Amino acid sequence: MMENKDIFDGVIGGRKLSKKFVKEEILEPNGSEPTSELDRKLSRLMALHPELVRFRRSNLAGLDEPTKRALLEDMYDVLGVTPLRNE
Amino acid sequence: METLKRIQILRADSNQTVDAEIIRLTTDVAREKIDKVWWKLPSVSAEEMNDEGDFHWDWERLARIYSGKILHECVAVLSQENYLEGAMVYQFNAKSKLEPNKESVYVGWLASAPRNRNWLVSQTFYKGVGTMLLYWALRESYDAGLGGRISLQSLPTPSTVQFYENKGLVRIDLTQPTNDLVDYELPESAALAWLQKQGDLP
Repeated sequence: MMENKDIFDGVIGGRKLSKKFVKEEILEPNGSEPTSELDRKLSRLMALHPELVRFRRSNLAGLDEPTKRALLEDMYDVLGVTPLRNE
Repeated sequence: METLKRIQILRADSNQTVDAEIIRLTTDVAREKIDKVWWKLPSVSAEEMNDEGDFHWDWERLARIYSGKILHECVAVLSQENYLEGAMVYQFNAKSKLEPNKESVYVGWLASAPRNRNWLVSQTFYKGVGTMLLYWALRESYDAGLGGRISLQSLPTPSTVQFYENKGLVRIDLTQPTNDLVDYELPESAALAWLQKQGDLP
């Protein structure tokens, strides 16, 4: 149960992030929009952590779902990310 | 509407949790379910609306700019009444201000629906929708390998400061004037503690 001190019902922000606080080397990937959440997650990880995929295929097209899941597990392993419960 | 996760939110009248969804916000949904709906509150005066920091936000425009991208997301909380109880836009390529060599998720725009603000209406519908959205941004940050770090800018009103301190958000620059937006960041340690408290991490 959420306690009163945990309750927030207000407003945050309203301003675009200043350019000086954007990591310019991290670029929005080119190409078509991902067709699944798994593709989106992988594309995001590859964009944010390009060192992970330097020697791998950066194009997800043609990979089947089990391969994509294995790739995600590998990436999480390298990043030290424990898959969240309640996914 | 595309569901990203099924969640539970708290009804304000009964304190009972009920099912809801986090959905991806598209331009059409933003226009029809936020811009045309949120400020139609007969009991709230024009002056009161004008005092709200987000009264002039154009969610359709935000969704048009930021949806469909890999490094940005537009999401909303959809209740069983088919009403959007809150919405948020965030991005993944922000520099952490606490750890400048690392990245954080920057929450650029977050708002609970005006009908859920207890200083605007006498009986709100849901409580803690803003908390749920902020926690979603934290999860997204963690999932993207950013350690759960989130950064934001907010007016340091007493109630928000109390909430931020409770959650472990750190005010970045104590010299920033408090009549303007002030920078806050949730460090990785506080993010992990929140994830553990929610049972999402062991």
